[in-house]
Amino acid sequence: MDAILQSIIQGLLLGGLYAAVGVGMSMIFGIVQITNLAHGDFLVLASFVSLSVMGAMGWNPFLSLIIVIPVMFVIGYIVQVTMLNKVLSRGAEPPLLVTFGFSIIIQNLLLYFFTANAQKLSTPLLLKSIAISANIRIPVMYLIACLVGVAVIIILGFYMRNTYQGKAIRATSDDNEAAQLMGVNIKRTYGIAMGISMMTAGVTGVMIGVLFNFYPSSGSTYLIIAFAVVVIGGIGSINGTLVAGFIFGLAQVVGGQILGATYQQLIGYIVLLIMLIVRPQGLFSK
Amino acid sequence: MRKILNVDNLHVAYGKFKVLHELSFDVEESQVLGVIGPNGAGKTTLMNALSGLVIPYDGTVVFDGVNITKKSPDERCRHGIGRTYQVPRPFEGLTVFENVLVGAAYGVGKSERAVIAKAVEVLKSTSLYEKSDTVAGRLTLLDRKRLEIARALATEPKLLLLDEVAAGLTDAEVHEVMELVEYLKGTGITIIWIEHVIKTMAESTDKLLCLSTGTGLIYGDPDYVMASKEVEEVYLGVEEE
Repeated sequence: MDAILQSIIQGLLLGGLYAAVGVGMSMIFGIVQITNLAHGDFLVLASFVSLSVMGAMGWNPFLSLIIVIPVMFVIGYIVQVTMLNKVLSRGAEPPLLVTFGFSIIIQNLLLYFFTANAQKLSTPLLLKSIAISANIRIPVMYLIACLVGVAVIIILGFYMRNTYQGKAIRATSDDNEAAQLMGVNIKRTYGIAMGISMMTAGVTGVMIGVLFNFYPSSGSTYLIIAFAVVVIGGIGSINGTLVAGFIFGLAQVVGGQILGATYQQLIGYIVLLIMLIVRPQGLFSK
Repeated sequence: MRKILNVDNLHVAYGKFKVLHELSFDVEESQVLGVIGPNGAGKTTLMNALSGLVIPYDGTVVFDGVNITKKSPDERCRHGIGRTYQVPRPFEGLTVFENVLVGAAYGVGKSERAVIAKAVEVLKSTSLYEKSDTVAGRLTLLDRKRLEIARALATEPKLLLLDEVAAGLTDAEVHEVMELVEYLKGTGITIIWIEHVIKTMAESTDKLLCLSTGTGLIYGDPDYVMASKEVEEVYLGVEEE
């Protein structure tokens, strides 16, 4: 019983992080109507940026966010404005290919500069845990990652609801032509949206880099998680992403506990498959 | 009166299909210009060309002394051109207040306090203030039409393009929308107005432009245009001898 309870806690904590993995991708799906195939690679890029900042400045991973977040915003904005915006009017395939191209470029650049060796953002917090009972413990770093993930989503939701820029992004998402007639520069708005999406990838990338080993090729793992969260939650729904993250995390960890660790990944994707059959538009579709 | 808009030799095509050709006309400041014509005459395309949603392949559009022919819709909005759609297209996930706020914030670029004051003023003048917190997707057609006008007004336009504001409404609702149009005329905003109810147009406009097959057929005072043989032929057809 304790083992199940422990895995529920672990699943929920992981779910909060998974939600943050998917929220940026969901946002870009909903607003710019782009499937960002490089989302996972951008996330891993953030882990490597953090690694470089830690090495250069001697900072801990959390402090490195001061550099990682603005750097990721600038990368996102530039990628959107200088490249993706130029192919948006040519249908769905060209932007998809551009993001696929970015995925390959990021992986190979990381491979060139950092080699294929496993990396980790080290912090003593990873070894700490809070004892709930004799057999149940909450790993502190998982708790932090979950809280950070949830905070990212809450802040994003607040920004979208309460700022003029957020309202303009939502308006553009609803009807980009009508938004232009209201004076909204949609190409700039898309750039800001991609920048924000990359900021979420930056924060999440650092949390992932602390919790797990990462390699230049790790992006595809997180792309699949992001896809699952976006599909389960409903494209473009920030709240849906949060719920989907918890469902996916719980399914993986609790399922793995019951059926064996070998099936952990598989169970998560079975839940995704069931979701696609029963409610393909997602739990909170727009 | 000062000329606020000059359209000169305008040509617009969708691919190889020419929709507007050799279209020229002027609009004076604070004037209400009605645009009439049968289906397919190019009325909505004219609205799209003036608001920047389509770019002409030839000709010029000069607004308030600036050549805006190649400018984007958002640049034209900030320069003072507002537009409504025939079939309302509110931002359905935003509240009525938020819809108007976007126009006030981005169309004019005022300070935060001024933006909110503008939004409130516009909502009151269009009888939508009580519904400020309603999600736009839940509005009735009449209120959606009001919201179209409110959003455009929030951008503080010098020229307002009204695309069939009365279409799809009951007689009572048309009366309410016409009261709103009368209010707009009173504000001194220059208006270009497309409508199928020609009688209403003739009574409420300063000038009429009749389009036929993508070009200007006749332009002038409403009485003159309505009495012309050309308009009669366009709407009723030519009687065979």
